[in-house]
Amino acid sequence: MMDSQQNTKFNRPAFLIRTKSLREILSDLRKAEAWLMVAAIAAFLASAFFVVKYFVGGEMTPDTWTGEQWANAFLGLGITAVITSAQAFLYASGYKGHAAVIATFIVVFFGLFSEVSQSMEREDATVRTRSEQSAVFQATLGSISSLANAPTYSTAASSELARAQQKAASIQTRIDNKNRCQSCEGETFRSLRQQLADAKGRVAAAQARVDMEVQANSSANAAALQSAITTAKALEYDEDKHYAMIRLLKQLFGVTGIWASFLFSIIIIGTFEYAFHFVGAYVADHKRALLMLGRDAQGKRINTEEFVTQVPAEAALQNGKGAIPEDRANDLREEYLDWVSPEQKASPVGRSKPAAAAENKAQKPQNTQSAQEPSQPTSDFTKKRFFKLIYTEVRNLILNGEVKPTVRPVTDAVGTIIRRKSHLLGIKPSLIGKPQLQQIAQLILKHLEQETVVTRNEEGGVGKPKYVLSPKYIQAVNLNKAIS
Amino acid sequence: MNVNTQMKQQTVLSSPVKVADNTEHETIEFAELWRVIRSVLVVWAVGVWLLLVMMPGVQQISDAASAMLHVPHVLIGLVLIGAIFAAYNLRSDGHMLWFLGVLLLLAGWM
Repeated sequence: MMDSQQNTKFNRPAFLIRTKSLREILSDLRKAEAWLMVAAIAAFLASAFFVVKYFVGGEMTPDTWTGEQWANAFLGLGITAVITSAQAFLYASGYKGHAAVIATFIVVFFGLFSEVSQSMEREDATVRTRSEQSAVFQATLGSISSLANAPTYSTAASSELARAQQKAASIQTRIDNKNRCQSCEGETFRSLRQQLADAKGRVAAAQARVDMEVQANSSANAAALQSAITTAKALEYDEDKHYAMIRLLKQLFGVTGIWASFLFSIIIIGTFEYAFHFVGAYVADHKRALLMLGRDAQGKRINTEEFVTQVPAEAALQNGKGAIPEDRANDLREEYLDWVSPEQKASPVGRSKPAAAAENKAQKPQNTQSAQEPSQPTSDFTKKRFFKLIYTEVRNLILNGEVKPTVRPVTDAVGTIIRRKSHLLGIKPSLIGKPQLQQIAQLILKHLEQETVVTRNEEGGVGKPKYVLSPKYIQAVNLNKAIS
Repeated sequence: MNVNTQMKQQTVLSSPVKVADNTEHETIEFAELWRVIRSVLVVWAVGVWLLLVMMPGVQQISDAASAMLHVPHVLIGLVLIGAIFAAYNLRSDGHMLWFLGVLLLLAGWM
């Protein structure tokens, strides 16, 4: 299992070149670009929900929006689209440096803020839905409606009042009849008026009882209703309905539900943002790998000197192994060989593209110096041979005593050889910097040590050379000098 | 007791070269096993996304507002799958396990 830190340190484009063929790199680049597009769409939607809701200043109900709200919504969508696409392009570009870090910080802050908000909104809505669907909440709602519609006085009191009112009305009718017809009513006015007064007294008593009952029941119902509403309000958003992991965070850190929800959203959205960056960097690494192979994002060759000379310089630094994978398709191999040994292009031996060779020949007329060089038809001019060519020359110079086996003289010698043989190597010497020459020199000295041509200087110390010529060769050098 | 004694005898009598060979063999076997497990984990992650992220997410969508709440999280899960593929390709196992863990958290949440 590899450690993540290990992976961030090593050169991914070089790793891709070593482990994948050109076709695989192109195919993986296409897939990675599709994933990056998905990531950009996801980030856009997640941010857009929050931004649009904030800009509109209301609920996400587009059918009720006014013209102004629609305008604000489009403004929010536009801003989100610009920032999200900038984020995707920034990640895919592979830019590094302070400006890139600042730009990344800005876009990531926007993304994190809006997406965490959206994520918390989702949790909020989920908890609310779960709470509203709970049986206890439904029962509380039922009790509220029954309390609101409950009668405020008993049927006994209301019946008694009705009876008393009916009795009083009938006595009043008898009095009215006696006024119209004296003989029709047997009882005297005095008796009837007495009965009417009694009946009105009973009506008043029944009314007082009803009023008292209404007052008593109203205050009791109001208290019960208030209590039911308070319970319903608490159950409307029940914090026990959070997702189990959020409840765990809540208990673990002793925070409220909203903070636990925030922490959970940070974990999800933080990882999503990192994954977005990871996929973007994956795209950038593949593009960089193609560039190192002198290809553009479509896999076509870039015919500029800059890229033609870059690969041999880098490749020569690593034991002659490097940017050319062993499983490369034959056409790529041929193109690469054309790269590093343009003089072979002109030769019909071992080349499948005579037309291209002839064209190249026409573009680059034969150098008189190269004509004098013994041009052996090499069918396989790899980077290893590039290194070997320089190595052999330097080895001879050291064995002849012309160059001391220390880094600085060997670096100078390597520079001279590359300049002298640039036409043969097919590279531009000015593009190979001193650090690269120095690395080549160090590599040559290491190989010479393995070959026991040079040995470590036992009198090591500050200012002393690291390597000296092996004793067996010192005698030969002295002999050569004596002869010459 | 007999078993333990036999094991001790076997260990004492065995050649140190053979013991070294066995250790190396076990390491190689673990590497081979891990290669298989990595592939299984990637397939499993895709299954988790399909069954525990995408399906519940789609089921919860009833209107535009609920779609805006749930669709981004379904896509966030898909991006995690993409990142798992990328980590698998780069042989970055730490990243792969991290993304897989968060995908599982998301699956539980959905």
